[in-house]
Amino acid sequence: MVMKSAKNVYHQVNEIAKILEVKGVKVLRISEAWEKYRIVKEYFEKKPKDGFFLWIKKQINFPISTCLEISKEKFKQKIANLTLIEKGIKAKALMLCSALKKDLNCYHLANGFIILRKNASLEVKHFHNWNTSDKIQMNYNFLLEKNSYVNYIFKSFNPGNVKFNTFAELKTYAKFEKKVIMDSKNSDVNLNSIFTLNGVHSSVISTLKVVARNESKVIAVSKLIGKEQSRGHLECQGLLIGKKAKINLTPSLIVENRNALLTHEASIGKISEDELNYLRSRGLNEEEAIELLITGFLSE
Amino acid sequence: MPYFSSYKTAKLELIEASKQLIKNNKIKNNLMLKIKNLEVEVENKRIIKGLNLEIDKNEIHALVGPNASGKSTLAYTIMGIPKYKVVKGFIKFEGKNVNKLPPEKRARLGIALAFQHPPSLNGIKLSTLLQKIGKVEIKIPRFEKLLEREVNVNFSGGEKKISELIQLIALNPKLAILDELDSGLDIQTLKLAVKLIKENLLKNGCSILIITHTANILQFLNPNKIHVMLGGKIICSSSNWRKVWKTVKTYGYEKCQKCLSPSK
Repeated sequence: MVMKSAKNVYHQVNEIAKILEVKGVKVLRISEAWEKYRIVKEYFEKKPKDGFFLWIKKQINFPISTCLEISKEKFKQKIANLTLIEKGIKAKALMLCSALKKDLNCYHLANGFIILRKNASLEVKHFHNWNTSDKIQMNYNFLLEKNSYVNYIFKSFNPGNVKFNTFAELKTYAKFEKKVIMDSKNSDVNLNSIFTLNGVHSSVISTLKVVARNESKVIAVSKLIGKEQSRGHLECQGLLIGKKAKINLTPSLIVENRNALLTHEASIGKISEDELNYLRSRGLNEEEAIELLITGFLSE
Repeated sequence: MPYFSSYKTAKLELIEASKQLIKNNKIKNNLMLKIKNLEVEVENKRIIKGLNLEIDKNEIHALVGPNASGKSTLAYTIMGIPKYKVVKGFIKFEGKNVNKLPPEKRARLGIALAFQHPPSLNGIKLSTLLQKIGKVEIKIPRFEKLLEREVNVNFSGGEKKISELIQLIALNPKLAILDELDSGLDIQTLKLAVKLIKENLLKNGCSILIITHTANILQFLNPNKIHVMLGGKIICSSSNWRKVWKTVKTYGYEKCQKCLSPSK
């Protein structure tokens, strides 16, 4: 996905938000949108303080980008977002969330609803860059209406202490491809995904690649529920680098319709000695060889 | 006249001695690899049992032998792969004992190995690997697309061999060990491999140790010496590779064992 000419639609540093006007895209502060639009109230019972309502009503021919950052020590950023892609619209987005300094001990909470109307499509690349001392919590809810498509790639190369919950509901012919790529350096990672295949011929492919270094602890539970004639596949791969690191991967398949075909593949391993020695024989030292193998493992 | 005669003789002797000295020094300076009384264990099992080998600069040596005779073990040991433990003897590279050096240091000194069974590196493109390791850029006709593929992932047998050769050329080594480079190669790819070896390795003064059990590549490279390995030892060395190979093909390696000829 090329994001070279992405147009920024909102940018928030700590509590200070800036909305940039981009033709074809409606962006409002979530509090304002809550007052104005019934749909926002449907998803948020109480009026949220911080966050954005992003509404793509017309076809745009450029990718959009969003940015949430923290620069203050111990700052708590609580964001509530609603993204609505209207019928038949195809959109691409780049999302960035990060700490601007080290040792901020900050907290980033993002509750998001992403709704795709009939025949809509959304491709997202979401990057996180935090530090070990930061706490991150994300609750993302995807609703894919008939024949819509989402390709969501989440990458974090320093996740901090993260809890990431994803819920997705798919209607007829909807398709969801999700990839989570994480390099946890000394982190507590808790990932929880539930995909509900509610529509005939809906499909999900979920891929998780996670590296646990040093004393990282990773727990990932992925659940696929086939309620209709549908297809789904969960792929979970863990790579243990640290001697005290732990990875716990649980793929779970629940079939409630005998025409649903759900599969999973899970593996946790260490760096292969053969691969390591092969690279060392090419002149890379052990550290360089391990880094290259991790880069390869985490590649899309 | 006796004076003249003795003077002439002395002069000739001196010239001869000088020549010998130059020759000796030349040999000494030209010695790339020297292995003496080498014994190697893998997982507590002795595989190489007293091996001697010397390879000069820019020389091509062939190493043949039946399966499990220790050929690949020797290659991995020279490269310094940690699993292969030297329990006796030494490996000297350009006069420096490399017994205790890790593989990356040996690679930096100029030793390179084309693996017989290289591992697949998921997610790492060959071009990325070459950028990390390469001293020399190389473009191979017919195989440009290989650079954009993940190293050895779903490579055919021939592609693996060419990929190994590309990496070796990129390293610009002083000693290249080619472990079964010719096995499974069609004639066209074999000729391409030979061309690459001649133009990119030999031309730069690289010494080559070819490990083969088919000897297909030897007719194109015409090695300076052939060594027959059996039971963890070199049992025969000769500068006439055709003669040795003919014997092996006609009578098998057992004949070499019976012969036990010293280096010729």
